[in-house]
Amino acid sequence: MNGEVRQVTAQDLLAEVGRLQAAGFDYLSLVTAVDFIAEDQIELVYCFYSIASRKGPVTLKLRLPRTAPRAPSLLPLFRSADLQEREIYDLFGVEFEGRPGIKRLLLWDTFQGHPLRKDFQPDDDDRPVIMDERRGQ
Amino acid sequence: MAVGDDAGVRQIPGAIAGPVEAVFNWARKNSLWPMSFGLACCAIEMIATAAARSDIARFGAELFRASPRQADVMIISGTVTKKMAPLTVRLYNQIPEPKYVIAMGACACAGGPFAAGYNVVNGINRYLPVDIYLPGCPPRPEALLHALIKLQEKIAGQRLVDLPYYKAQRPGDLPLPEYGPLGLEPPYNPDLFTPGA
Repeated sequence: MNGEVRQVTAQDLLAEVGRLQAAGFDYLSLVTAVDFIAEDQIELVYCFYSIASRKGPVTLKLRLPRTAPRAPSLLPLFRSADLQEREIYDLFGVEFEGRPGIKRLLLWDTFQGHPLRKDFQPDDDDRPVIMDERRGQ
Repeated sequence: MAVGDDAGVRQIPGAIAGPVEAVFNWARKNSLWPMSFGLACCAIEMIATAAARSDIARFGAELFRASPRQADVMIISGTVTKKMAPLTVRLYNQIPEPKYVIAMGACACAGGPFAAGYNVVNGINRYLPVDIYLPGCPPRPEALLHALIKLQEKIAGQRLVDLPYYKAQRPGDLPLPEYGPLGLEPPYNPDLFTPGA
């Protein structure tokens, strides 16, 4: 089971995580997201370990559409998902269902957009030269 | 920064001001109290500077005050995020005059490696009047001591009658930037900073 990577869908994520928990995987190590802009998808990545039996990681990957991505929340199963789901909502704009209201974690509440998306256009206050070069201006 | 004209200088006769200001400047340059204010990894170097090996107390700056009301110098030690910038300006406003700013590290000087990011102020000189720029990532404790010595030299060379806080019209509080939809508004304080200058 160590190092295993599984692709799951939003429908069977909770069932899959439930099976992992039943198999002794008691620690959600990380939740993160990747923006695959060419495929118009956002991928969520979950890593699970078993502290008791020293197994892991088992990685679950979940592809979502880039427009209005929604995924089930793991907060009812793992408290450690709370801050990371809020961070993903903040920086990638993924909505999580089945958890109490989600707020931005790092940026202020009135911020517009999700800065870790590849098509995010940052503030245009006199950017340093390095940024203009990167944009090919 | 708004400064009154010389007619408004409070009454310090020149014959007294000369000898007095040498003693006065000597006293205040050797008792610069920094504010306990760390923003990022440079703060660790600042703490190391205060510890026994570098011992910033040798230069009279060992009293890191927990309140801006008791501080003389603000060491901007680290990355200033856009979320932190209004609070940084507010803390600066709370320091009583005379007050000085050391921009410590590449981030505080110009945004450093994060200059192209969405959340970093590209240099605290956009919002605060910086006296000493200290490059490095992070600067070593010796470098911070060097910056402190340079600040002491600057203070020693100041003339009391030229300082803004001895004018009749003293400089007021700096305006606080506000959180906008993508960044801070305004993106810099036009009285202090000119882009591309």
